Amino acid sequence: MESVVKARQRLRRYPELLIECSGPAAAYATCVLAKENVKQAECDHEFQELRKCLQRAARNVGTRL
Amino acid sequence: MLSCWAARSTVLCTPRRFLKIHSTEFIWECDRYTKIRLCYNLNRSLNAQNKLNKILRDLYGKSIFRELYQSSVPMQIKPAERTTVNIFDRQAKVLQRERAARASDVAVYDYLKEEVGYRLADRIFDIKRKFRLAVDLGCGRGYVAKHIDSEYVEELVVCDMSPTWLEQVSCPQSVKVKREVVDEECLPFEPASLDLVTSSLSMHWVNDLPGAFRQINSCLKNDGVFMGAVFGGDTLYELRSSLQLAELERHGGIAPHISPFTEIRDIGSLLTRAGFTMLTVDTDEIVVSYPSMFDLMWDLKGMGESNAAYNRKLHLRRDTAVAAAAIYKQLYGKEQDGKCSIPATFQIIYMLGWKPDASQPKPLPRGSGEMSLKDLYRLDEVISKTNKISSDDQRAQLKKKK
Repeated sequence: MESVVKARQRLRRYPELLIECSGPAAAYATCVLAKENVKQAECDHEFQELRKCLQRAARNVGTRL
Repeated sequence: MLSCWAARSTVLCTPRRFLKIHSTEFIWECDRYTKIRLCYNLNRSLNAQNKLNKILRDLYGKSIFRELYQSSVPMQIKPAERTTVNIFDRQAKVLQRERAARASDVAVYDYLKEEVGYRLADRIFDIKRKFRLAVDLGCGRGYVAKHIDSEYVEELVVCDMSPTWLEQVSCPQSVKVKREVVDEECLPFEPASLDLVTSSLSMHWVNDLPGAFRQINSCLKNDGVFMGAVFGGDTLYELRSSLQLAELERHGGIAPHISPFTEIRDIGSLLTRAGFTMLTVDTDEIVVSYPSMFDLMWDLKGMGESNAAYNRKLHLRRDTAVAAAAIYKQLYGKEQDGKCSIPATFQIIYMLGWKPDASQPKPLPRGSGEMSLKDLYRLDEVISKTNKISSDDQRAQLKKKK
């Protein structure tokens, strides 16, 4: 259960990580919203950028994603 | 949006935990974690021993298996149409409510239900009558009950599926309050015994809503009132669309994350079919701002409003959640004084229905009209006398003056 408790604590910090990465998040969202019928992994590049940014932000803050 | 009342899903097998069979249609089940009796509605006999007994009795005139207890009290609630609708997992809902109730910060998540409870209680006070016995179904932590005054209600029964929430109900001192653990799908009240039934934001988790309305109607006395508030179809549409877009991009398909709600136009017909007259249905929209989609979802969980539909996806990937949060903020986000927030819409449908009674005003018979609509433009010339109808408040004031 320890791992679950720790995972929950890490999850509670996601909103602040998203605020740090508002740039890549907006880029990803605009990519998805621009498409008429979005299919799987059509905005994968932007999503990977967002994910890398979140990982960097998490490291800076002291947690991990 | 699912139209729950037309859906027919397959009958679920009850787990082996059932204790008694009262009739072949209604099976009581006792959940061993929360000791709450939940009611499943089946339209066939599940117990093989009973079936075998019947066959043996027909053949040989005796049964070899021990007869399970058959209640001598006839089932007082008989829905006209038997619909086996299994959309919501009532057991999961009880567990979610219990978990929410046992949290240390349970009062933090009360804001929405408290507001709706206050507005619903306000409508009770609009009816100038003293109710002898009132029931609050799905009371939660007593959002409607705390506003009830002995001037309007003599005795109040607060009911909820979750016993922990029921313990946290703070009731007014002057009213006689009784707490009961009740499943809204199977009401334990005698027919024609209640004067007022209220239900604030809990009927949207009921599987068989037409059946529940019919049960409420049968439990009410003539000229009794049913007042309810449920979430409408527009509730959390932002969350729904963000999750759908994120899942399309990340997974290639979508799964339902928001439970289906009733539409306003369906409520009227549901109440009429249940036997209510003089309906009043109106809607309200409450928009709450949150810092991010995660905060919205944590608040929903704290309220006990997590998804409990059978067809819900049990796991939401972190990737999808993050993607949905980004889309939500881009699509619906607002900025005010440098602070970004996202709105969440809660559409509340308030409904009010009366049980028919001879004392209620009926439409005049056909052909008794004396005025033509053609004379509407010169109404002040045509009418012979005016009458002032005073409200109960004005009459009370006049009495005081005298």
